[in-house]
Amino acid sequence: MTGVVLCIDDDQDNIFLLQRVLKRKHPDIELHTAMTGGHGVTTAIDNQPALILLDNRLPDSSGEQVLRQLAANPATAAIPVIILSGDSDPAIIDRLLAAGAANFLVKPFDIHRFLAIVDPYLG
Amino acid sequence: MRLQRWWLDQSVRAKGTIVLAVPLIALIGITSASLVLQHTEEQERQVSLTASALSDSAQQVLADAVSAETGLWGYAATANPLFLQPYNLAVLRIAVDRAALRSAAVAEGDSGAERVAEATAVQEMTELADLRTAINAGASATVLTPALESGKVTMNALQSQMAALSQGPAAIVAAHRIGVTQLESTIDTVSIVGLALGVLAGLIGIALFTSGISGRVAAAAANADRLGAGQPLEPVPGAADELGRLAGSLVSAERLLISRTTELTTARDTALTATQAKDAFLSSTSHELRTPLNAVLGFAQLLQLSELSEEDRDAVERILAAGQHLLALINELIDIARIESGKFSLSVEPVAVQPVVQETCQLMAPLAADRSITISQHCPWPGLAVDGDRLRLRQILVNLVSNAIKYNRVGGTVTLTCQVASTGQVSLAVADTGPGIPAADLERIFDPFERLGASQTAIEGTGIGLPLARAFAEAMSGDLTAASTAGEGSVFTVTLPRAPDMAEPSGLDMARVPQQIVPDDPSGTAIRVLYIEDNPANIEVVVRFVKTKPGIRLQYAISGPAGLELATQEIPDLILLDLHLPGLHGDEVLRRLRSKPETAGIPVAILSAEASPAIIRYMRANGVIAYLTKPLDLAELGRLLDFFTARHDHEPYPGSLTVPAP
Repeated sequence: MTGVVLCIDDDQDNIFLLQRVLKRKHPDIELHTAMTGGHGVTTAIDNQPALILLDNRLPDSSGEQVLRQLAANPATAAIPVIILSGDSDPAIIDRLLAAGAANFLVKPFDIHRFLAIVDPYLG
Repeated sequence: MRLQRWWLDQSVRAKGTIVLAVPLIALIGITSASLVLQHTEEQERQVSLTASALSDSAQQVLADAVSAETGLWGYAATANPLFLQPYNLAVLRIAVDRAALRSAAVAEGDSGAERVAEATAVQEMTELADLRTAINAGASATVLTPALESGKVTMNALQSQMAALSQGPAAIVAAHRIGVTQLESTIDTVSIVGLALGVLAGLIGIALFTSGISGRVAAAAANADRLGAGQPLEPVPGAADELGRLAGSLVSAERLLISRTTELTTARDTALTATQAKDAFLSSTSHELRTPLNAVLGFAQLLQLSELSEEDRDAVERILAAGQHLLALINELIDIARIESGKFSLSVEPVAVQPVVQETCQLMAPLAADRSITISQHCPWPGLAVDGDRLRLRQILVNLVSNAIKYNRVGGTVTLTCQVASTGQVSLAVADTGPGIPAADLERIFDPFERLGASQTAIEGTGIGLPLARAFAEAMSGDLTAASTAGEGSVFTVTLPRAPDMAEPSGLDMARVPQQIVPDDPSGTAIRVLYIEDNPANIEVVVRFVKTKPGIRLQYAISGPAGLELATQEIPDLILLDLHLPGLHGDEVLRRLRSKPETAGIPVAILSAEASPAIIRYMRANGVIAYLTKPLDLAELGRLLDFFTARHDHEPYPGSLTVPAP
């Protein structure tokens, strides 16, 4: 499938890594990036990605805030969001899942595990 | 106002005394006044009696003399001796009456007049006696007449003397009668006034008691209730007595309560701010360390997948190993920080010990094999259970066994023993046959980064494993201790609270389990689902259910290794994985699937009776796409299978993860 994946992350290295990993398995995937929560939400509305990969710590907001904004907007509410968390605190992870995250991965993650998690959303 | 102030300041005892004393004093006063008056009246009466006794006896003596004279005159006139009878009686009586007169006069203190009157009476009687003698002798009238006249004169004198004698006492009696009457009326007045005063004093006492004590007791009790309920107190006028002090104490208690509450609130806020700051710091640290490490490990893994020279491959593997070491260190450090900040949440529940021991031994088998070390376990108690966090218990045991392997001699043994200690707790001991630890160092090894010189050797380790294991054990209300004999080895013992024995897992009826794959797939387009499950009943349920769904080719394996082999032979589209598998735990099956590039991408859904949030969270973190709890919700399983049969329609997987109700 030629899908659009949106990566909301302020870490350039991480964006680059995700791009490389995704392209390896899904060469047709179009990866959009946003480095702030606000930009991420508008990009999600405009581009309607099949999947959003969301860092839980962004310069302008937390992943949870972005998640809630996406869930509250009918234009983006149905898009699955996978959290890429830099925090392994179970309480935070539980909160993000309760807020509607489809799944999460704690950084640093195994790239095979990453692919196993995102694959079902990319067909 | 001043009086009221004075009254309020008196002690309750003084108030009680006063309240009782006021009517009492009134009553005593009245009674004594009455008694004094009665005594006075009695004296008055006595005086009257004495006075009238003198008057009466004087009259009596006079009457005797008159009676004697009259009798004698009759005799003189008639010479009839019958007339002498009153005379004779009077002569007899007058002696007695004279004695009475004399004693009355002595009592009255009027003896002079009495003696004169008595002498006259004696003279009169003597004259009468002489006359009688003359009459008896037959004297003529001429002889008798002068004697009679003389007697008359004496009688007259006697009469006037007796009258004089009676007059004084009569006046006294009359005077005293008036006094007595006055006294009697005074006594009546005093009695009535006294009664009225007594009643009034009683009423005043009750009023004083009500205003001074009971009303204030009620006010104090109401304030105590308000204090208990945390409401503001009603103001109460201050006083120096016990009740005043009680009211004052209540006000102080209220003030103290308010100040303590304020202090506690401040302390709580401060602690909360500190905790929040610490949490934020931990969270930031975790994020800031993990983010760059993600790039390091991620790109290293990517490099590993590309064509590399032997040298470069070695370099990449070193980068990966160092990165993994760093990651383990970060994880353990953050765990320790979380335990110390009390933020670490353990999922404590009854955990069967034997399966955890078996898993640990299996996980450690490859490492042990590398060093030709034998692992043996003595846990002959299938139902034995502890209260603990299953994952953390395994982490402790893995840490202890891996240490026992790493610090052992080549070809040595590691023994894992379960026991019920005398304290009723369960102890799990890991013994090695290494060089042992000097007694002086036995506690030091539980300090972070204290590796007893191992950092200079090739032995791998973060240096936090043991402190963390001990922290976990303590967080589970247990303990971790070490003992060692130089040259013979060391024993690390983790002790945990015992839980009621758990039912032994039912034995497998392997004969009933069909050994290979299932349904017809005439078109060859069916998706392939692998179910790794050891319970025949569960397999049967899923097999029957899948038969109702076209387009699914179901395979199953009754053990982890068999499942892994099937997964490698032909990559399935989906793996349904049970966690409690004999031999290899489902978690380890998943890890091994992920560790091989060809199976790492297989979507895995967990089907498990284990519904603890910690396990579910842990499995999610390991990237499972769904977690279905047993008893299976077949509708949920249906949705999962439907998604995979329809995946050619390019719909994204909804990503639902079953969360069991708490």
